[in-house]
Amino acid sequence: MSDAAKLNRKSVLSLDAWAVILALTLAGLVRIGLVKHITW
Amino acid sequence: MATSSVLTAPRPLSWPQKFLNLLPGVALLAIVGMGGKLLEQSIARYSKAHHLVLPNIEYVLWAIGIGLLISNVFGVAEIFKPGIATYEFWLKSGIVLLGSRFILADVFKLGAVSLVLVLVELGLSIALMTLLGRVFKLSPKLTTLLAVGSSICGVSAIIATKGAIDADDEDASFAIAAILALGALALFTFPPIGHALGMSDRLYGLWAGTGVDNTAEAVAAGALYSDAAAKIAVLAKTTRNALIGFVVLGYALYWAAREGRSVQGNKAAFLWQKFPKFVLGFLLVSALASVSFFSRDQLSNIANLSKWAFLLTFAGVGLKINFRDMRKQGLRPFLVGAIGEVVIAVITLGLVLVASKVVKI
Repeated sequence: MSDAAKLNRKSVLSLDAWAVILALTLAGLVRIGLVKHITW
Repeated sequence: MATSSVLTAPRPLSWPQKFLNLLPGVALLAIVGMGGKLLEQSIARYSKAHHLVLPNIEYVLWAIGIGLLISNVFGVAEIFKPGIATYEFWLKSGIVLLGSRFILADVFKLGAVSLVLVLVELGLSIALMTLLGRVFKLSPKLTTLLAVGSSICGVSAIIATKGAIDADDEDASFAIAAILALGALALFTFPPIGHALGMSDRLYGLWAGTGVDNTAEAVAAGALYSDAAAKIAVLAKTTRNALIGFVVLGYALYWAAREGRSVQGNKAAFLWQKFPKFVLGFLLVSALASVSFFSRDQLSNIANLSKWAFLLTFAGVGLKINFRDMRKQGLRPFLVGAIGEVVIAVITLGLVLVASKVVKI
């Protein structure tokens, strides 16, 4: 079992789905202005 | 390390416990990643202040190097392991966010070029690995796992195929160790070769995305060259990952026929199950960026979030490599993997250079 699959074990959503949810949530927060000034 | 811990089933935990279990490892990823970034900045500041010409070592290499040092000199304590395993989650989140840097038309154009390259590479690497497996007398299933790992997307593809062809844990461990060791090697060889050949960011990115097996290492190999190269490497590697279902299904059918079984269930459902869903998230964010859903500032914020996610990934790449564990796996699978990978890297380099003459990349 891969690290990813192990992490994802017994979870309703796949690791991919969680990654997409986190990314879209962050992008949404940036879009509505709640997250800004992210520097690198 | 990846191999032995990968195959042990964890005990079931409640959600809050699971979350708490992740924290130490995620904190370690952040500390190692930030350490890499601070080292790069400090050295640059020091050399500027003292008018010295010091080599500019990218934060990617520092983060991987610190991770390697911790993993191989001090060892990684059990408490950190669940959190370190999240590096793949950060990688996928980072890729989805990176979709904001692509206009959909670019995705399809470069994606189409990548697809052609990947299809040629796929056929060649499967044929080559099968041949090498026979020459070195590896078990046929181990050969299949190495072929899938080197042609598609490293560890995930090996795990997916292991279940589909009913291979042994030991064979999967061998194949994973070989692919991880060679991925680590690619990190240190691809960038100098790219520089020596004077490759453009786009060409190099295409090469890293088609030539390096594991997604995290492919992105890191791209980032070691430049941000632009990392972007293209992600696109090429994502195209490659999208084909995982077809290859796994092909091998599942082949092994079922060879062992006189039949593959149960709907083939379309099988393909969908194996399809990496984060690719859809990447395309969605890219589509939103293409219709100007985000302002320029917002796009820059999203791209920076993606870099932070990749920083955690790069730290994880170093922390998960343990040379002692890899040595335990034996020389032959590594040798087959190494010969195959060197030939594949040369072939993909040739393909990328030829493609650049045919299509404007």
